[in-house]
Amino acid sequence: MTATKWAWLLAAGLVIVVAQLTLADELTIAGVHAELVWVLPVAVGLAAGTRAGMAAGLAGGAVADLFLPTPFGLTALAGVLLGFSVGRLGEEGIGDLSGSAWWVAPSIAFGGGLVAPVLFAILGAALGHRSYLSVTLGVVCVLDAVACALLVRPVMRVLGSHVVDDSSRAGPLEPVRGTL
Amino acid sequence: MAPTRGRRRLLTLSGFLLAALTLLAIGGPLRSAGSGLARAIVSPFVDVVRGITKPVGETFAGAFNYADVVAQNHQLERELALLQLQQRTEGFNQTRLSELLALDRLPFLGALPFAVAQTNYENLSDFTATIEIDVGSSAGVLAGMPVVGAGGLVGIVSSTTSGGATVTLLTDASQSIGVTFGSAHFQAVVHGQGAGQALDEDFVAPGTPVHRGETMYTSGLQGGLFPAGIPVGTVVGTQIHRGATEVSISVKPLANLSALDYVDVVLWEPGS
Repeated sequence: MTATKWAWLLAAGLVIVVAQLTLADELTIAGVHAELVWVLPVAVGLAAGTRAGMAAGLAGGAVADLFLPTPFGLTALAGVLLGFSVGRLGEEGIGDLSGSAWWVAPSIAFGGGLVAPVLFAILGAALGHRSYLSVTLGVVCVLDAVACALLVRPVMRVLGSHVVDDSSRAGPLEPVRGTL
Repeated sequence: MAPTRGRRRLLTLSGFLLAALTLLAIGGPLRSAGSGLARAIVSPFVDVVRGITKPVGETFAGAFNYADVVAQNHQLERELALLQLQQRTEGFNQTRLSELLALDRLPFLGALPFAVAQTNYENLSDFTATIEIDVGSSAGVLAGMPVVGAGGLVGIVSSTTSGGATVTLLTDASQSIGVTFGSAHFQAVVHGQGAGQALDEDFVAPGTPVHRGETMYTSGLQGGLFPAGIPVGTVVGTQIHRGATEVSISVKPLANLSALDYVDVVLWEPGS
């Protein structure tokens, strides 16, 4: 990961925070809203692989943590694990994303968005914040999953080519070549 | 080849996890240093985007929810008339109440100074019920001070910077508030259940006369987190299970926590 790629990820993290504060926070269901921070590691993990996905989780999570009242670093930690999982799934589970059906990336993103809040809540509970495992967690999971599924392809398109870390990969929706 | 690749991947994962855990370990100072800078970078963009999206959103809301707006207007007119009536009798009641509480050495809300604050952000995380306000330690606001507004208790200041503060709302799952209710001043504790959820009350023995619509007030007992007499919520449901030693009571916050444009920080420290 070069400094330029880290800068892209930090900038993307700030853009996501602006979108969160202006749009996502206004659209609440049952008192909760979609958290867009998970879109970054999911999209970058799918577009650019495991290492870039983890970097996106760390950078985007750290930026989001500056604005959140939850423990600093918790979103980054969950983001790293999410970026790793989605990156591996993209590399070894799916492989050729450009050759797959249009709904494959959104489906993986939906799964990632569904798991991310649970991961965050479990890590938070492990740190002593047991209230994170609340009754609204189910609604949060669904909202985050929908947001990830809707936004993953646009974010992959915009960001993918700037953060691809693997020289064997040509672009955001290209497969990893010659890795097997 | 495969094991080497796998080991390298594991090493990379360990490195990133270590970085994230380091952030967690030294989070406080990093947040203090970075938060102000990040907000300064983001705020102009947030203002511009809100300037564009707000009129559009309000136009849609007005067009599709006009009947609701009219109904709200009527309700506000009724509430204003009721408040005017209450205001005319409040002076007498406050004097009586402050005298009585002074006898018990309990702090009384009406005698305490306030700092008016504007809300910058609401419910930034789905995992905590919080708001961010624009007054902080430079205005005398300290962690632990109660926050009121929009018809009742809003929450408690949980952290401050020089120019702002985070307020944890009473609905947050970490909140517990000592309350009193009824003519016999029964004591109980209400607990937050998460943003948008009703409060849950316990320590109420079966047979205690509690009615739907009854208002709960902060008890203000010595060592309590809040001064006495702040309206907290109204009872919306009671339930007693067979063989239970407590009545399960559901309490709806009196403050409209979804419309907190302005709040008042009570400049009072717990235990003072």
